[in-house]
Amino acid sequence: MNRGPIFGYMGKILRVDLSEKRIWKDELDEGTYKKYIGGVSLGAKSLYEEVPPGVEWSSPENRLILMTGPFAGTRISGSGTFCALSKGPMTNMGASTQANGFFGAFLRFSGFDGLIIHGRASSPTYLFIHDGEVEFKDATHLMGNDTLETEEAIKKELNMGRKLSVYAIGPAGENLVRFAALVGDGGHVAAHNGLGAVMGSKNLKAIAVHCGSLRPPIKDKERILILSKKLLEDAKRFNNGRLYKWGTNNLFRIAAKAGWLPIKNYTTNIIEDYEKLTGEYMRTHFETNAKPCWACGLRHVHHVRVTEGPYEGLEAEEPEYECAAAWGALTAHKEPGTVVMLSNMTDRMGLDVNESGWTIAWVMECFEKGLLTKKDTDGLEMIWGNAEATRKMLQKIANREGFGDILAEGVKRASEHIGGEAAQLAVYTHKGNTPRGHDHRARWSELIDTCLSDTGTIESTAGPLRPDLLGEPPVENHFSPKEVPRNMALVSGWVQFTDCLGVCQMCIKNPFMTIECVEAATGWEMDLKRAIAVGKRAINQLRVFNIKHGLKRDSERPSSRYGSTPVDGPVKGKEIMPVWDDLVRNYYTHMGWDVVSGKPLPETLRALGLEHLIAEL
Amino acid sequence: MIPGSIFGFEEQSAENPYHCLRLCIPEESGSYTLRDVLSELVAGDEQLENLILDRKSGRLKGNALIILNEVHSDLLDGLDTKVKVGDRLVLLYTLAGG
Ligand code: SF4
Repeated sequence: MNRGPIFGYMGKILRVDLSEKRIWKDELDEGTYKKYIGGVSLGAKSLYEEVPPGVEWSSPENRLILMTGPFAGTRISGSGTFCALSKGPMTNMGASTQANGFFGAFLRFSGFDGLIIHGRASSPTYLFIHDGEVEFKDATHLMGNDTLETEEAIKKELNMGRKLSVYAIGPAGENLVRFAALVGDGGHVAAHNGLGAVMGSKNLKAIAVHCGSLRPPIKDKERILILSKKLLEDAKRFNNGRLYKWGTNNLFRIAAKAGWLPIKNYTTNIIEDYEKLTGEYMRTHFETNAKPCWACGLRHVHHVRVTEGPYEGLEAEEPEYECAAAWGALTAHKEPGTVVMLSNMTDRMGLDVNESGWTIAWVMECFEKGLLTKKDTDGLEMIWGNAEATRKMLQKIANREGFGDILAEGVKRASEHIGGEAAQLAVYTHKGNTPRGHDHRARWSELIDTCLSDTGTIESTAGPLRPDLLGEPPVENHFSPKEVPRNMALVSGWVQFTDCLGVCQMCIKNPFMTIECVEAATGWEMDLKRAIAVGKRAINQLRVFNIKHGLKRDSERPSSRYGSTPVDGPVKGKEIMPVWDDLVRNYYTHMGWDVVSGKPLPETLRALGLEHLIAEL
Repeated sequence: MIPGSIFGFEEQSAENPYHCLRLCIPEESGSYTLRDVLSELVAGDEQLENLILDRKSGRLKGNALIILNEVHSDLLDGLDTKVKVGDRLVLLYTLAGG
């Protein structure tokens, strides 16, 4: 008997076993969708159920999970997003990371809310998903190609142009670089915790999805249309229109002033002459044109043509804030065209820009201090701001060539390998991941989040939900070990909820309208409390996964440089480590976790409908 | 007089990214605080007030922060920090991401 539609969903998850060259389709019931919504929450459930302790990130038994949600492929601005999950190589624990573009929408148009990849192909393969089916295609001829070349080659091969979305790995993923990323749709990146390496370990070069003719059933189409327009207008106004006008790199100047721009590997918090690295400068001096994602009216992604300096004439994606932070501030490149070139190289090689930045910046500081010499770096002069040496080193990392092979393990493992004083200079968490492109010593909430989250990046902070929207006062002191964790826990869950929806974070800046959209798409009742519970469910599910996969409290802390004290700038002298244990304890307490072990308490799991996990801890 | 700049709140152009202002404070007053400066700044500008201040608690909203003479105001006395003639104030609307 055919069941009726589940509003907001295609109702099926596609499964592909690369070892057996077999596919099948799981039908999910409405109760499961209602409880988990999609994206990170539904993916975390599968990861937990299917990847037991003992399975390593590179094992064929590991899963690569790509999930969308009820917004994907609708008229809501930016609804081409998907969430990728796996056991990730940086932390060897849970990984969850998002990418925008078209893939999420097209997967739904092919009839699926998600894709779960099992096994390992016996030879290089790419998948072609269309009309509810999957073709296993030979990818031998694509090996060694960078991500953009791979996307172009597949589009040509299948003769589909814009009707195809392709996510691929570059040389970095093929060579199992621990911070390899998935790159697709012309430069969008699922960056964190090395999911490109997971894909490489599966001998999977790319996934191509056709823009099929199916559409998700929507409960109230008219309401969605009205709300989509409102959400878009709100997103355009967000931050006084600065994101809309200047892109994400509008943040460069703010970060510089606030003291949270990461400068020269955390050796200083003061940057001079940075005007040319700002979003405002690049948008007004380079030739740019918008390249929006699926249904996106915010259109923040631009392509640029560099019009000055040594890389004049280069055409590439406009650097995001994270790219400008890594290739401008962190590694002391002063020239905006250089930032474009290095960002493009990072994407082409299929590397995570954050980890790449921390790794190169660490090498540069070591080089300056004489802890590494040209003998160690294969003859490359790794001085601050040396663009060509940086470019070559990125290629070496991606190909695991010479010194690049050591760096391909990420900055934590590379610095431990070199040892001595060099080991003290690297920025990372003891779980193995690195921060986004900020100096978190001036931004404690995100430092705590980076160290304590269960995804390999942040999970609680940086969303638009603020305590005052919940009727609670804002933090009075951003360096208070009591207030900061309390307020983080208060809003925790919202960001993860939005990562369940299949939509770009930048397009849904109003929590209340977002919730209304969920109601209109699904026909279910939703409110802030329920939404936060969905997000907290994902957080706790991943935490239990990580605990079973070896998470210890001792690893939830920053490296000595990451937790060091700024020597200058607006937060000069402010020490975090003397209060670190208090911060962690307070966060655990407010999250409903055991204050000693960090394990979710039985009552916490019970309240989230995760009682089946209690016995597992 | 305090030379100040607010950033992130106003429609800035690429050429003029800072919205600069000069705030007058009583030369004599030794008890003028950041809170007083903000009250004057937002007087009659409801939109700005909404962005900066949480009316209920009287605290700065989560995304707003003040750097006074190159120091984060939370490392001073917060909004109770005393200001004097010649101090340099930067008010920022901060967001992470990208
Ligand atoms: S805001 Fe940017 S990343 Fe998000 S959907 Fe639009 S163009 Fe894509």
